[in-house]
Amino acid sequence: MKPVLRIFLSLSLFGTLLAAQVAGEDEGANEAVRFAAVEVFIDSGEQALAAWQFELAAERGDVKIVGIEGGEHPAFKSPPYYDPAAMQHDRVVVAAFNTGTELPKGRTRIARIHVQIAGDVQPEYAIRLETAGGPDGRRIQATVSLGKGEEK
Amino acid sequence: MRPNRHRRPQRKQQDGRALVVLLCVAAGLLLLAVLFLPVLQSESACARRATRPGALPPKCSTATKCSTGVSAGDSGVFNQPGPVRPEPTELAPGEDYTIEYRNGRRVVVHVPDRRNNGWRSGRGDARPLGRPMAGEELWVIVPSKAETPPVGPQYDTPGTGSMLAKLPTEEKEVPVPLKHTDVKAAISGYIATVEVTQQFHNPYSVKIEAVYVFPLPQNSAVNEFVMTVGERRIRGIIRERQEAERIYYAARQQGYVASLMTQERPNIFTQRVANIEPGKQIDVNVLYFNTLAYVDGWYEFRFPMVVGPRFNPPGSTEGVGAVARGGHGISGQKTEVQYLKPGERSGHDIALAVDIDAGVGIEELRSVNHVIAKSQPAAEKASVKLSQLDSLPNKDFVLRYRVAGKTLKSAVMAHRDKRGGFFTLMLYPPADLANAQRAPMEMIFVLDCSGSMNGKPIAQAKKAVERALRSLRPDDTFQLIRFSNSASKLGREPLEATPENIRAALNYLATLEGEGGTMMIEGIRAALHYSHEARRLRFVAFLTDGFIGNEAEILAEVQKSIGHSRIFSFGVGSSPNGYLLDGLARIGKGAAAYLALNDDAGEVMDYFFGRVSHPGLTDIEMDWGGMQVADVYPKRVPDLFVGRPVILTGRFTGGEARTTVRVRGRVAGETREVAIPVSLDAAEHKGIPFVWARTRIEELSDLALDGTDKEAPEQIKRLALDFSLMSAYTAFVAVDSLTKTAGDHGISVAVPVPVPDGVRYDTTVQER
Repeated sequence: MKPVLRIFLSLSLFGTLLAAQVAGEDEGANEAVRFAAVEVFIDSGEQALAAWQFELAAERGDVKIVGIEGGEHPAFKSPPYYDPAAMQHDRVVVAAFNTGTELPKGRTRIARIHVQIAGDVQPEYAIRLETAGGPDGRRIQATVSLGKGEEK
Repeated sequence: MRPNRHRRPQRKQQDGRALVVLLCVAAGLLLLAVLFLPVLQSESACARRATRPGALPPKCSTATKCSTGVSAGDSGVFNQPGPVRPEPTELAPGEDYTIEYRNGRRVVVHVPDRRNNGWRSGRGDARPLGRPMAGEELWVIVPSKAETPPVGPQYDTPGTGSMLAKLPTEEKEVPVPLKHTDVKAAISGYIATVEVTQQFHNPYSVKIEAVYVFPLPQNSAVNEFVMTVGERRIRGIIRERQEAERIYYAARQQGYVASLMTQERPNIFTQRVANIEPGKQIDVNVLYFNTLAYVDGWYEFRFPMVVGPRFNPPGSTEGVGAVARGGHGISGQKTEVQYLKPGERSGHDIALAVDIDAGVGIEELRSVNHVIAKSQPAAEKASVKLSQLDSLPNKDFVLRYRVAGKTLKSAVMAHRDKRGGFFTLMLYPPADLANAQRAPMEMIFVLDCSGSMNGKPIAQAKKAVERALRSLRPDDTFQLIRFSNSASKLGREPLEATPENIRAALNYLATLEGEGGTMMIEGIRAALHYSHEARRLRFVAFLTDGFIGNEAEILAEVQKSIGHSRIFSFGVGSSPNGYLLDGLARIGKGAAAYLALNDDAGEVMDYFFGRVSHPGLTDIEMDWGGMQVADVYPKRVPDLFVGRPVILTGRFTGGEARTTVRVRGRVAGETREVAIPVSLDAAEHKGIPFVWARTRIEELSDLALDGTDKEAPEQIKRLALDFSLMSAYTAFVAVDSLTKTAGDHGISVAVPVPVPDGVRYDTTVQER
């Protein structure tokens, strides 16, 4: 093979490989995706909140959870655990508990869910509080609500 | 959460991508033209000497062909000190030469005054050069003795040698984006829970993505991943690998702080952290569980700190490349580790602490490779900390401890959660196994003589083989196989272990040195591809650091060819490849042992002979008594050898909390039964479900080795997703959607690492 031809083929191959790599790395980036945070609040009124579990799902929109952050009160600041099996079925079950005595009361942010949203459809979420418990282990009355995270 | 899928045509982005592609092609053309120009210019000068076009680096114009000094038939070229000699025919005795192989690897050799059976290297260790390995082309370039300073400037490119020609104490600090690694381990029984925190930072003036290739134990069940941005901690999500990668790259491109952890091998992982702004720090916290090894009376906790430089066979692209700092992409391998050059150091250090709750008294505790501080607050508890004087992450941390009691009893640990019940059973060999005597054996020693073994590792391995040769009985036979670029053996057939043959073997062993590639497949084939005498037990002692990137190919070959042989692997050096060594032993129906540079090689071999000098408990069947068990792994219970328990793990659905498990097997043709009382309420550990899932993944991975089990990858993926476990098909991703940095993702910076202690940079790392 003549040197000139060999060099030409090498250059073409190199260019193609480089282009393929660029295209591959940006594959995800080329989808119309954006990132946002959904904040989860529990209001336990006058009762101290020691444990909770909720289930979150998107009723509308193409949403993937990409991170789970803890809440604002020190008792629930650590990132809560999620059920990995549920995560594979387009919903997330998140739970946390604290056995300490310094517990939040009233309305408090207990978790922040980071999501990736694909497409133009504005997501709509459904959240269900599966349980909320007090320091004595008994179920307490509480309500759950959602808010929007603010980008820094 | 994906009820709807909406895809909008991205015309603008596609146009943009096309433009990027065109620019890349143009840049590639320009770059290659610049690179090729000097070669083209010198090609005419080199043509009369080079056997293959383009084989020479720019300095090739000073090379001439060697007609002697290497054996006939080898393609070789050399130069001599001082001005180029046009047609040298002999290497001058007493001279030093730098030999450059075609792959760029260089070694300094000294030609002895009297020709004998080998050369001596410039570093003073015995080093017969022999001949270049098959397919390797030898070049000797023009060194003068003055060009060989104490710290290897020969590693550097011409013109920049002065930067590294410093005294060893004057190391140049290289800024890297990994500041510190913190390891906290808690051992309960024989299960370790290990938390690893990697502190990434940005010491540069522009935004970066940090990329770090790092090791974890091969049996680690990585189950948690948390990214810390300032005071905020975000739990990463386990996802199918490709999906996680897509999420990460999208976040990276849009400027969000994000991290991604992928598995390249069961013991090699890549951590990526995107959009670290100058001066900022982002921590990644990983948690895993693993079971400890129990070896010849000692429990062993091992934490690997550096990935050793791997050799990849020609033509492979799925391996793990070993390249010099800044040499991104030159290995052509999917995964690459960048290494600090001699004379360079990074500011990355490591802290490590281990708390042990053995449940029984700890009699003795020692660290193999590191200086430690230890305390023992109670008889069954101990705490160990790595000394701050020994915080360079360049060798495995190996902690061994011996517990009270001459005879250990098999022990069950269990855990119940909403997924059901899980247990592990450490099955110790019956105590009286050591009383039975073995039949004559055929002992095959296979010694890795590749470049990464050069120096201390091969010296350790040779000591071990020497002890083993001297331990053979006259009615045994043996073979000694060496491999690097190719394999060769002492005799055509195994030799009788007569004093004369042992002497000949010891003489042959003394000539072996480490250089060249690691074509391990040649060593495996040489060891397993011939028939053996049926009346003899056939043991293969495989001594290697395991620094290869084609582990799956090797393990598949063992699976195919193991026959009646048993492989006992020995991981040599400060950072051996545990995935390969444990795999060889597991599939080879033997056991793995580790031979650190500080170990007594003779003692390790004595333990080995203690093991193979007594028949194992084979053909094991389990009677689980009142336990209702399912999905027990490994499915085929491994044979039990003296000093080597095995760990079984499974699920239980109910049954009696206290029962007796019976183990039946055969010893020297006789049936033996051992009764083990177990209590499922005795010991709890939350890591057991993950240990079970990880063991099942290992079993499925073995089935997938030869590619015939097409369902295994999907099964592994489902299992890993259900248990939130790292695997080859899953990855952890975390995105902080509240922290968006300005501009695009900046540049990617790999974290360069030191070569493992005892490993030579020049024989293992690829430079430009």
